[in-house]
Amino acid sequence: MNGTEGLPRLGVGIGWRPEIAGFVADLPGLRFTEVIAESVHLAHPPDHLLELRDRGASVVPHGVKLSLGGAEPVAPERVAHLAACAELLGSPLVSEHVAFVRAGGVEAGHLLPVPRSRAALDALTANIRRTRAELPVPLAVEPIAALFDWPDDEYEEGDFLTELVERTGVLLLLDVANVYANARNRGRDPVGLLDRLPLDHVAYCHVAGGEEGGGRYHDTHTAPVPPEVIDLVAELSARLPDRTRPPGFLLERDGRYPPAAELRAELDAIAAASGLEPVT
Amino acid sequence: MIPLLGLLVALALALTIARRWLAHRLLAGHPPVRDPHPYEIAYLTGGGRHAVAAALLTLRLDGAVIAGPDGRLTAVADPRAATTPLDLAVHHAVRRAVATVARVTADPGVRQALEGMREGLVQQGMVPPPSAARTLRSMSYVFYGILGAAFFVAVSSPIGERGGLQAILPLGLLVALFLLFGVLGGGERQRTRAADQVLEHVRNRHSHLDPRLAPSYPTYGIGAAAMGTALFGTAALMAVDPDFTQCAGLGRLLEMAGPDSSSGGIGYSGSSCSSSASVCSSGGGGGGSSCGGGGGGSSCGGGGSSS
Repeated sequence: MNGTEGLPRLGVGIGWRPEIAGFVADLPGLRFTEVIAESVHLAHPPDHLLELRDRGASVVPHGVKLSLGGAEPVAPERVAHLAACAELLGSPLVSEHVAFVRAGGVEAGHLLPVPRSRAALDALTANIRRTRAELPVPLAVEPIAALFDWPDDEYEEGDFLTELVERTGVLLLLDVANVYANARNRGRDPVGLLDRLPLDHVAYCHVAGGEEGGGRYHDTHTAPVPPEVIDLVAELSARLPDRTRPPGFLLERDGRYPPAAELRAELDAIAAASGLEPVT
Repeated sequence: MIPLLGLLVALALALTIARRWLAHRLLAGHPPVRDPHPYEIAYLTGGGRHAVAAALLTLRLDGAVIAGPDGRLTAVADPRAATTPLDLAVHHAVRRAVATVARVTADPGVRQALEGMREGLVQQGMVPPPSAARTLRSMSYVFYGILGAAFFVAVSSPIGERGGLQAILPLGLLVALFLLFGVLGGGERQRTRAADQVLEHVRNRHSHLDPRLAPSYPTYGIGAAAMGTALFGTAALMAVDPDFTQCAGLGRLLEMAGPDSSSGGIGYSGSSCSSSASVCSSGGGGGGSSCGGGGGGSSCGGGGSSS
């Protein structure tokens, strides 16, 4: 049992953003997109998103404020919103982050990495169980890019995620660009990390571009996808334990949107590297 | 006298109904046989000025025109992607000695290009033919003539014969007729009802260009920038190239074009005239971006001699 059974074949997708709604709508083969869950107003969902749902595309709500990795229990109203988004959009699954965004009542405003400790694993496990209990569809969690590691980490990232999956049965949303960024910033081999991940639990992957700054690679989602990340998509695809059930690959772009031809070329490159059907 | 008044009133009523019927027929238009160009959509939205604003923005994105902080337009290169008759006429007008949007709009070549566009729109069933407007106007004149005659008949009746309410009734009836004509007679429209439907269809098809979505014009390209300007006016102009819009005074041009054109509701405060647009032409064979043309990437600050 690998947990991805029952999920539709997602294929290559692109994150839905209002700024590029027309571009996304015009992709003839698109069957998969993702929307930031907190941006969806349940009473007034974007028409363009509903049109994608109605033409049979899988629309995955992607939460960014649940704070699964926080010490406090997840807020029931936030879980309820995620669940309502899934119902509204007919989603096959929802996703969130292995991260915390608030602590002690203070909002960080962005995703913070959890220490890879047993205590953090306990807190994550409890929050993932609470969340899954309220969701009508499976949950996939995404490890985030971090520029540093906590000093008292007890696990390597691969082992940490493997244990999290074993404890909860949660699916993974693997950000290939994060894997690349983390490995590059630590001088490690990204392919080595792939080999330590429970790839049979990966529901889908994020692919994005970033930029070099201050001697570090930042996963900004506002730059072209570097060839190294595309190569990593190919490496990952070659390592899949079950090639008949490949995860989806979703291009994330959050700003400085390029001409349509460039976005199409990136989607084609992802399709070619993953062996999935082109959507352009 | 009173039978004559009755006859005139009956005539005026008949004319009101006739004009209503004729207006309905003459202003119906018909579905176009091709998709209207964004400039045509701009024309249908706000007339010639709106179309000129869309063309100027397109020429700017094509790297052919820049605007100085004093509102002066300068042609810095030949257009590459923008080659419709209106593009060429506007570009030609900008090349003339001192070019501002007001002068460009008044340029004979530009007026001629707009007239050509209007004629094309008449053929497409989007704009009523001039004869329709003439016919409807003539009917209005006849109606006012009859109403005037009726008024004369009403007031010239010997007052002694009637009094009180009876004296006021005919005049009240004429005022009511006048108002009825205004409501029922059918106005003069700049576009046909078929054009209304086309505009609604185009607006739905390009709903992703709604300024509330902050559309990424670099992704959608020059054609979308022209269409966004055509449909959403000032708000789209400001989203595509705020500096050029402010320097050239395109917002003011659209305010003059009418409420449909400047519905964007984005005000103008300050004018930095420094940076350039983010939407660029990728050009035919030249490759690369043509934004900024000879202006060194800035949409404003040119202001040198025309080229």
